[in-house]
Amino acid sequence: MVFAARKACRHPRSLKAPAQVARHLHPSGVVLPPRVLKNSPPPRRNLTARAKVAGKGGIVTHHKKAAVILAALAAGAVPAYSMHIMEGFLPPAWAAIWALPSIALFLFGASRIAAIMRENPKAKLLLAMAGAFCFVLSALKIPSVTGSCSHPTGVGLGAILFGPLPMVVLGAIVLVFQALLLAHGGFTTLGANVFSMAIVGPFVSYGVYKGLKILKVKTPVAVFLAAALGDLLTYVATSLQLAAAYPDPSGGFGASFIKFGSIFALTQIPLAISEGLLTVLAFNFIADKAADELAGLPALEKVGSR
Amino acid sequence: MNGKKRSVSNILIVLAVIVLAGSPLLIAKGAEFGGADDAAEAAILEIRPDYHPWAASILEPASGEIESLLFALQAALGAGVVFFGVGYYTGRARKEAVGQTADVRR
Repeated sequence: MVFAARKACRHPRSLKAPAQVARHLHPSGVVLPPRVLKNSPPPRRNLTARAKVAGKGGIVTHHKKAAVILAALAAGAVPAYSMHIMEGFLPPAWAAIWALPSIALFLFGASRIAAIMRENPKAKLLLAMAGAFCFVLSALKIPSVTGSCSHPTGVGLGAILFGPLPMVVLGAIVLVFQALLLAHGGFTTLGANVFSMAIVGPFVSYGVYKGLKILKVKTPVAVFLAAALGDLLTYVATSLQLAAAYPDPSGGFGASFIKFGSIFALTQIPLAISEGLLTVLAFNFIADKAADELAGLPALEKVGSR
Repeated sequence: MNGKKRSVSNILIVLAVIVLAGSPLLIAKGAEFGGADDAAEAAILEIRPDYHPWAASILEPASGEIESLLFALQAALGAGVVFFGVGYYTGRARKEAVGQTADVRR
């Protein structure tokens, strides 16, 4: 419903600066987001890819009217960077496939949060802190050795403290905030992004933490590896999702996965280490100062809080 | 871990994060440091040049400045809640410690 209206070309930049926007034209008549215009010259790969499509001769004509209306509504809008799958960039069938498990687990997560609030009201502040930790970390776009930027997810801390389910909800809140206000990720890709960041991430973190505790690994090491691997595998999942939706014409799924993996997952390695370290910092503080609250948490009762 | 040892390790952790975040600027000199998603978008169009996004974002930050405002707001909201908790628990732990010493004196 909303999407129909948004299909139209809607980048007012196209009216303001026709020369600049030329490289964003797409054969379909949809103007691609002029993300790269913002601060710096666009990355080379981008330029060539866009030049290629622009070269095929698509010129915006049929959506002119809509463009004018939308331009009036949002003069000068520029889309944001996003480390999640961009709005509209997942074919509808795939969007639906990822949305289904995400919706189901979101509902389980919501009832889990309600149960925590009921049984363990003292842990409310900790739960808020876990969500806020996600907010902070996913707002920090950090440079990586690959020469591009990405951000940590912050879901590992909450997953270790509360188990993975509540983090499905908290992670989804962060993703909605970014999709709604920052054009970062999107609503059509929300299911896929929730699946990678708020499901794969927390479940991996929780599983790694529990597994390492059973193996009697020291808590800070377990926390570090849990958070770092949860972060890294979030972006491996994103790469898998994109590779499944866009198998390479010649190399198939594998070639595509390597391509997306080298973009997302490789960039993420140093960030995953940072996230692991920051999570240890936060966890140490909580274990030190909020031991009472920790003791009552279901996620920790079997392995002990220290 | 005692308090002093812990604060040393905390400082080391913070330093390590700063080095990890800062060193790419020196290692990958001259790189664009754009978003990883931009590279992904280009890769999608390489694989499927005929693909066109079927939806666009509802709201887009009106400029790079507004975008950084919103990101700063997101970080500030998160940091506010996190450090409210940090202050609360620190204060509570201190109060408990004072209460215990008072008990001992009595």
